[in-house]
Amino acid sequence: MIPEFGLFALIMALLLSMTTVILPILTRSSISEASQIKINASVVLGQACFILLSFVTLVFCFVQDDFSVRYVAQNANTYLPFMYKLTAIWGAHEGSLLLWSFILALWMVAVLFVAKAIPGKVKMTVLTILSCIQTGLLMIILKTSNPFIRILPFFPQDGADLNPLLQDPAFIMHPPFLYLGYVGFAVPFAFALAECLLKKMDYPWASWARPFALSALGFLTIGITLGSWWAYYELGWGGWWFWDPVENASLMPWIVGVALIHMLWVSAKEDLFRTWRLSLAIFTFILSLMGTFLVRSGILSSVHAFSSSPERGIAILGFLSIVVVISLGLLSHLRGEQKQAFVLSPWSKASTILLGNVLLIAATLSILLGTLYPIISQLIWQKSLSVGPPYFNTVLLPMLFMILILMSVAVHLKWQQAPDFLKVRKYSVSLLLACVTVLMLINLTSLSFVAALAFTLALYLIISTLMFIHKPQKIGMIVAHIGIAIFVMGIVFVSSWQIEKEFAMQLGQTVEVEGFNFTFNQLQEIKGSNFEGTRGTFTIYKDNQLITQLFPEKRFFIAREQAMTETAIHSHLMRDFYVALGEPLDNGAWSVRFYIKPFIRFIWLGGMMVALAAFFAAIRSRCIKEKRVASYEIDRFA
Amino acid sequence: MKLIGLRENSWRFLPALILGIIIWVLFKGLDFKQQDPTPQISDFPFPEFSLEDVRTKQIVTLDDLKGQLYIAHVWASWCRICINEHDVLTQIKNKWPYNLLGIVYRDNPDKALSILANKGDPYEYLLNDQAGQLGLSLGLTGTPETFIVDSQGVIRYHHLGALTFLQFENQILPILEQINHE
Repeated sequence: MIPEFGLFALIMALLLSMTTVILPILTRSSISEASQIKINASVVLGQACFILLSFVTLVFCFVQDDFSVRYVAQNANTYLPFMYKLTAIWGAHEGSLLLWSFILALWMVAVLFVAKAIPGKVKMTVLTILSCIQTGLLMIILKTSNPFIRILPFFPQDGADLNPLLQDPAFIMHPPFLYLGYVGFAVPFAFALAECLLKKMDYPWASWARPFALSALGFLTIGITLGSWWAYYELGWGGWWFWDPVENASLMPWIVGVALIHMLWVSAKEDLFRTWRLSLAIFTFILSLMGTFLVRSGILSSVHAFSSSPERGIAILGFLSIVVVISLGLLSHLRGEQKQAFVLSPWSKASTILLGNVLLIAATLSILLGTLYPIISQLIWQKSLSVGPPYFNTVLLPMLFMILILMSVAVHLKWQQAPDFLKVRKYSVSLLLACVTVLMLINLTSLSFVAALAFTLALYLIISTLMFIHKPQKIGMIVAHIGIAIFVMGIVFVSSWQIEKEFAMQLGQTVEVEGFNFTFNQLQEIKGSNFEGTRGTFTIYKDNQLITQLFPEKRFFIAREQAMTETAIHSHLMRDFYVALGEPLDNGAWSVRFYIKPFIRFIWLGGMMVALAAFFAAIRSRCIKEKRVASYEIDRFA
Repeated sequence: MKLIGLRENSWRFLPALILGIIIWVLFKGLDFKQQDPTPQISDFPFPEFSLEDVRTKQIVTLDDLKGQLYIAHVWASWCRICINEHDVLTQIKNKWPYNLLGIVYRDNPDKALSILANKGDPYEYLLNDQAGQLGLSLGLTGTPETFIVDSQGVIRYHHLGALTFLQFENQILPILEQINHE
């Protein structure tokens, strides 16, 4: 009975979201605009309540171990720890889509309540567009991936358990944050379409959309960072980014999202590059949808290896096509009055940001090509192949360097005019200094030319950004740009100085790696609620001083018949020790992997700084904070 | 002026064109995925092993297989897809004269035998890989998987996922016949 209740709530939500779409068309002439806005708001709220209800019902089914529900039987088990029963909801396709829809409802409620400065008519249009998306999504859920389907009358006594890879604290938070980001980009998208529909050129569209785009970017950054961290310690390969299709799918909307927030900032100040900004908003959301498609259709094989059926892929792809056709159609019909021509120096802030945008788009297209190339090659040459890190690193590294240079230079430029000569001289002095640093780094340390160049550019960026430390209104930019610099430094150190060794070790044996003594002390059997396995004890000494004790594990998950490597990591801001237990060898020895990863934490620290900065900038945004000023401005516009 | 206007207008279609191509590629890719999961032609040697036969309890090694062509099939009784696929293998055995090597992966031998008792047993050898060691050396990504091993003990073809009879006739049979010709 309870699962049917969830299904009923889902159907009600669909009906209500359809109502939101149809009502303004039916009642256009008969009801006043004010009451239309009121009805719209209450229907949106009702729809959000029903989706919440349906979500809670699914949670309840998992907690109750209701294995008559197929989705629960496939993704949970009586012995699954309680926390993972809650997170198993987004462990597979059906629940993920429900989470998508739930988060979209949350964003709609946020639009309704948070953005006080936005006039009702605009809000209604934005919410109606979001309801269109919600309608499509709920139809997909109900048609192809209903999570409440039952296996009756003969249901399994116990479930198949959650994929062990996903039984991890980082994974509890990874998908919700990722989806908060993906779905959040639906809001700037809806604002862009509303701008095309309402054709009010003098509204401050960019500053309205900006806090939403910023917070979506912040969430997406956290999601990607968590995912990278999870891959680092859970997959046991010691890497932090694999250019896996699923990772790329989340990176692409992030990059275009970064371009978008910069463009929104430019447009909020000056009405420049309108079509470019609208296209960015549309493409960010399209890439988010494409990311959902790539992950959920299983079209590309990846470490995430989600099972799937083609029917679902086609449903999402069809939805994507409709979104593409409608949004591009609206965009191409946008005819604004021609703004008066103005002179924009190529050495101004506005044009450097535009150049940075072009670079980001080029990077996205390169990633897209690399990600889709296996499909293209199979389509045209009937050959299956995979595109690996060498391609991505070669193509993206030069772009990263150019972007780093632009970031350090652009902040010091003037809006529309070229800088004066004095400053140019200052730049050339610092350029000279940078060259000297690169040469010194190559000679004094073991860094390669590329690594030294990257490090110098990152350092350059930090120094150039810190010059604004006395301007509190720029704090978001400062933190985010320094975060990027720290991230780049982390990559430089890890890729230049990491040590990866593999040994066959007997119990009691000690090996020496770069002055650290690793000892294999102990091996014991362990048993968890849904797995059993082996745990090794390792100690690390340097100069007879104990640094740490590590306990890597090999787990065998009973219900899924799947073996997992639990790596043990001793982390420190400056360096990580990483021990993974491999396979037992014939002579009683075990294969053991030791990694020493200097400064790898910098990579995620950088990511977190970017996310924090994005949230900070979102909260400080005018449309949320300065309610009175903004509404005064609206009056003036109206 | 008009020329510039025309050029500006045609630029508008570029993103639409690119997106259209991408969606087409994705759609076609989806189609591909459906017909053909991931066929792989390879030439790795089949790993050395020494495992018990589930039925006779006798030790079988790689040397026992040499000199003949084998279709090696990895499966388990806990794998729903494998059980559904089983009929395809019996069909293959009934129609073509090739040897089938079953590898029971991380499984209780009795459960595997009871399935064979119900659905028929097409296998020449049925290895008991309870520890999963052979599966590991084969680089298994999941069950079921199918390999073609030639008379020299070299893997000539690797199929991921469940096999259909159609796939067998269209993809695997030509390879088997080609190897036979050599």
